[in-house]
Amino acid sequence: MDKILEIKNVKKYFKLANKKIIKAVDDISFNIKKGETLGLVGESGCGKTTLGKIIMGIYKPERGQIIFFGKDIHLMDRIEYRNLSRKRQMIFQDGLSALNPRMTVKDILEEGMEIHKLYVDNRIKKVVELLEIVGLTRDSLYRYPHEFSIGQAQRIGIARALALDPKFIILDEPISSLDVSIQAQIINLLLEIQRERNLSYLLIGHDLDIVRHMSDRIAIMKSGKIVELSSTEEAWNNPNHPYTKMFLLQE
Amino acid sequence: MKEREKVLEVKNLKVSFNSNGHELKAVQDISFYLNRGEILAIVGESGSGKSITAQSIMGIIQDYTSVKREGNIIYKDLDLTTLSEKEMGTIRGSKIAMVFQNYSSSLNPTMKIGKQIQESLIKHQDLQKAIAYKKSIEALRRVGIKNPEEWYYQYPHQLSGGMGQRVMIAIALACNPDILICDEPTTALDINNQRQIINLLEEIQDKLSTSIIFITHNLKLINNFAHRLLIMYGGLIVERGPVKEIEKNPSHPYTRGLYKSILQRELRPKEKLYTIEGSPPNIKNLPKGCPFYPRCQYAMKICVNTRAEEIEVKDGHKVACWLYHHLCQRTEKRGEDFG
Repeated sequence: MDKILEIKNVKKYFKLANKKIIKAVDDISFNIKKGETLGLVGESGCGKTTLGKIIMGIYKPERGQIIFFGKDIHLMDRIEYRNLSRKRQMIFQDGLSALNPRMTVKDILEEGMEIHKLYVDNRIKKVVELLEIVGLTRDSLYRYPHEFSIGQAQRIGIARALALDPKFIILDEPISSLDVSIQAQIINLLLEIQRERNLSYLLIGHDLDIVRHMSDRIAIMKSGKIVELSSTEEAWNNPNHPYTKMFLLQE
Repeated sequence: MKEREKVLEVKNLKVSFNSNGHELKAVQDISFYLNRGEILAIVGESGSGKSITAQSIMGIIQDYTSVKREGNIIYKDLDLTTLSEKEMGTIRGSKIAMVFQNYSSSLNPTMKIGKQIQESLIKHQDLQKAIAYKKSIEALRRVGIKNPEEWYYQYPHQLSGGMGQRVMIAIALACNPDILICDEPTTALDINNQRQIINLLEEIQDKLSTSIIFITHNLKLINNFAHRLLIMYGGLIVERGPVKEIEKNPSHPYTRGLYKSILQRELRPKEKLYTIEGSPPNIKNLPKGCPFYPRCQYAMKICVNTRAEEIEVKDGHKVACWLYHHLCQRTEKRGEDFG
C-alpha cells in the first residue's frame, strides 16, 4: 500500500521561562497508509495534540522530516505546499468554537474553494452536496454557527474538511464534546466517509473504546515518545510494553 | 434501618426561564429522593435539565422575575424553597456541597488553594485560623494529595486537571456535608484521572457515609459505582431504578437506545453502530406529550399529546412510557424486536 504520510524522527521542544525544556514530542517516527486509520492515544499532556499540530503545519518541528505523498514538506515550493493544504485537513474537538461565528455556513464551506479557485461555476451545488453528505439540509445554508447544536456544528466541521477533497484528515478528539446519542451518529458518519473516499485518518483520542473501534493500528504515547505501535488487535490482546498493559487494560 | 433514612426529597420540581417572552421549561415536574450514604446517578444529555436540578437543590437557582422555580426540596424536615437567602447560606457549602465540572473556572484564580478551603471552614464553623489551617491540610490529605503543606500555598493555575478536581472535592468536603452533588466532575479529565476520581468518591461515601448525587452523561462511568439511577430526557425523569436492574433490563426506548449506542466489545472493528436518530429536543418548544416521541420508533398516537405516568416494571424500577401500560397490546416493550 502507498504511504500517505511518513514521519521521521520528529522532535518538538518547548522552552519555559525558567530555562527548563519540555520535550513535548521526542523523536517520533511512523507512517500512515492509504485508507488506514492510525489511533493515537495517551494521557493528557503526553504530546499527542502537539504531534497533530506539527503534522498540520501549525508548529514547526525542531528536527525531523514530515513527508506527505513522498515529498518532505520543508523541500516543497509554494505551489506544492498550497496543494498539500487541500489534501490534509483537520476536524477539531469543539465543533462550535472551530467555526467562525461571523460567517454563514455557506461562506464557511466556500472559503477553501475560493482560496484554491475550485468549482468556480457551481460552488453552491457543491456546498449543498457537502451538506447532504453530512446529513444537513439546504436551509442551513444562510444560518450562522450559533443557530446549530454542537452535534450539528461538528457535522459542519466535517463538511468543511471534505470541501477540498482531502486524502488525509486529523481527527482531534472529534466526539468527546458530544452527547452520547450523537456520538454514535458522528462515528458512523466518519467511518462511512472513510469507506467511500478511501481516506486516511489520524485519530487522536482518549476514549479507548472509540479508538479501538475505528483504528487499524494504534500508537500509544507517553511523555513525548511512542512506546508501542501495533495493530489494534495486537495491542489489546498481546501488549508488549508494560505501560500499554497498564493503559489499555485498566478497566 | 439507618441506611434507608431519606436525607433529601425533591417533590414536583419545576424550573423555567423567561427569555424574550418565551418560557423555557428546563425542568418539568420531577420528584426523587436520596437516602443516607447512597450514590444516586443522574444521566441525561445536554439540555435534559440535570444540571438545573442540581443548581436548584443548591439554591443557586431561585425564584426571580426571569426564573420560575416551583415545588419542594426537603432536606431533613426543612423545606429549602422556603428559606431566605441568608438562611440558605448556612446550608449551602456546609450541609450540601457541590463539585463543578471545570475547576479552573470554579476556583478563585487569585487565591491560594489552602485559603479557599479555609474560607468555608471559617464561615460555617467559626474556627480560629490555626485550627482552620490544620483542618484544611487534613482535607487536602483526605482527597489523596501528597505533601499538602506544600500544595496549600499553590495557586489554581499550577494544578493539573486531576489535581484541580481533587482540590474542588476537598473544598466541598471541608465542612463534612451530608450531601455532595457532583456535576460532571470527570468529563474534562482523561481516562486515568476519571478512574481515580471515581475511586476517591467511592472511598468518601464508604468512610464518611456522605450521600452523593453524581451527574453525568456517561453511562459507562457509573456501572460499578452508583446505587440508583435516574435517566432524564427533556426535563423529565423517563426511567429510574437500581443501576444493576436498569442495565440488565433497560425499558424506556430512550434508555435502550443509550445502552445500545454505547460501544460493545462484541462489535467488529469499524462496524456501523446503533444510533438514536435525530437530536435532543429544544426546550423552546417541547412536545406536549412524551419529549422523546419524535425520535421514538415505537411512538403511538397517545404519546403525542399525553404524557405517561410512571409505571413500575419491577421493584423500584419505574419507567414513564405508554408501552408499559397494562392496556397496551404491543409487544415491543419486551425488547424482542430490538436486534
